[in-house]
Amino acid sequence: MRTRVRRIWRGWYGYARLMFLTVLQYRVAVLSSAALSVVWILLLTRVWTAVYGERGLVEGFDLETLIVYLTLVNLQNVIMSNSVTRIITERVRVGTVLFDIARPMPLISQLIAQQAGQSVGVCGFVLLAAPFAALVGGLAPPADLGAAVTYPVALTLGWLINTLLAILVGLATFWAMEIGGFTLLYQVVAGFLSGTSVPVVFFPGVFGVIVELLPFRFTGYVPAAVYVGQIDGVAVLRTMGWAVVWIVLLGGLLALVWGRAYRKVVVQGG
Amino acid sequence: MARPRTLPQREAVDSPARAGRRGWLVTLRRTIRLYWILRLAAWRSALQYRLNILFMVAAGVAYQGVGFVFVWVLLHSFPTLAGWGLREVLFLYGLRLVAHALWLVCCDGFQLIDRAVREGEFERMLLRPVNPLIQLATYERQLDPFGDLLTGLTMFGIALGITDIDWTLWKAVYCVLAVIGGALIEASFHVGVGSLAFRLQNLRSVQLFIDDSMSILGSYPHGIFSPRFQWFLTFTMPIAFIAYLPASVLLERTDGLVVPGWLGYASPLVGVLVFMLAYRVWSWQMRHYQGVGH
Repeated sequence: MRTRVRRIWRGWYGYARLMFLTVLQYRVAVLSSAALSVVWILLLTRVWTAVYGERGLVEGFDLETLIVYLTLVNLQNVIMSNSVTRIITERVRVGTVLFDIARPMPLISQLIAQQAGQSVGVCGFVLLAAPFAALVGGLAPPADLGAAVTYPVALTLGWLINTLLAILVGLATFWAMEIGGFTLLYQVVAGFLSGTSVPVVFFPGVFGVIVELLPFRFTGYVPAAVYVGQIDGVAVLRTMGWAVVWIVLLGGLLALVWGRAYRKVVVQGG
Repeated sequence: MARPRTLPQREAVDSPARAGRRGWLVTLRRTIRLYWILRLAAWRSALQYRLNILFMVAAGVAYQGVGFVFVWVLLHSFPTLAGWGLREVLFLYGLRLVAHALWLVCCDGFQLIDRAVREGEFERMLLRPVNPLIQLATYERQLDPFGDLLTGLTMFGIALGITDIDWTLWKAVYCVLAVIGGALIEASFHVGVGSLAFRLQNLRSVQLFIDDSMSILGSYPHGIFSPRFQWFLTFTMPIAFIAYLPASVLLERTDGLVVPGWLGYASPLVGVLVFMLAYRVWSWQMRHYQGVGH
């Protein structure tokens, strides 16, 4: 039993470490995406400051809280940026995915581990960018002790949902070889719906209801809103409960889709 | 070790001295003709992958469309953005996007400069009797810029329908020139950054940064920024000239500017000047080209 756990751990650690080192290798690209998020924070905070003017509270947000929210959510977004979709697409196209499947560690676990390694690596760069983001936008400590404790949990759940979604998108490559356009489309729409430029409570009417029903808000809005105390008390637990439900749902869906994709691979390589 | 080599003299093939008396005109006509031949060839090649084209164009539409949905959601809760209503912001957004798409549709291959240098393709370009800049411009075989163009024209078209501008011939001419000027400014940034390819291996992230920064800082009324930052966006990084100043002129909103209103009329000229400057930098940096040993 213990050797089994150790072996599994070694697999996860190995993949995560690999991606961590890859991030260090591509440091210029990561730094520039962190820098870009600072430019984006600059614009967003100015836009929101301009529209707020003298208003106090809109949709439960005062300007100060909103600025912290926007700064945080965009820094988070750099950590959430995924490469699992790209990894799987490339490996399927070239055919090396066969080696991945032949390994004792399940492909999906390999991908999650790689994404974990990447996100941890990117975290370091985000911490470098954070002082600039705070200067351009604004950062503050968590709203209260409860927020400080629940924020990491909410962020982790959101990260997992984001990763599962990204892998699901990547699996589409088993049916269509070239999905660059589709991936870009997904990233753009998912990024917006997660609340990186507008907190999801601002989405009007039916649009707002739909966004509320989709899983994307957990990957951006929810953790940041927990941090600034926009979601607090029992609502935090309820929201996280929903996040867990989504993780189970997406996990099930992923297992189903992967089962089908797997058979597809056998046919192609057979 | 790559050995430094001197450039084949580009002037030798298309210099005014060689091309005869009305040299520069002949050269220009020849360059434009060759540009079209190369451009059409690249597009024909892109048209081979039909399904992905559809997605790429759709992605281009979504990428730019989502940016505007942000403004739409925003102005749903609030009446104006720095005094600009939804229609006016749409006009500005559309104008910027058309300028952006114009540069991309014409010259997007230029973004592949680092790859061309790294993989030795640039060597081939130096040997052919066409300006390397033209060859690079026509190098890309993707069609997603047409997604940008589609979105830009649609937005701009809608904005034209709902904003009340007294169109005169002069205004229309100015508008077209401003779009060309805006495209030239965006191109200049890319040509300037691209000239770093002779010294750096990979420019992709720098290019993305420049590209996104221009779309982030160029598409909104600059009244939201502090006056000092507005000066910066006008004189240091001339992003204001891409669309904000022209839109201010056309919408008669020059009274809100931190710079003199007449400066807005100069936008097309600024485009030409900035591009000339970028071309100078490019030609100067090209001398530092070293073959990769092919």
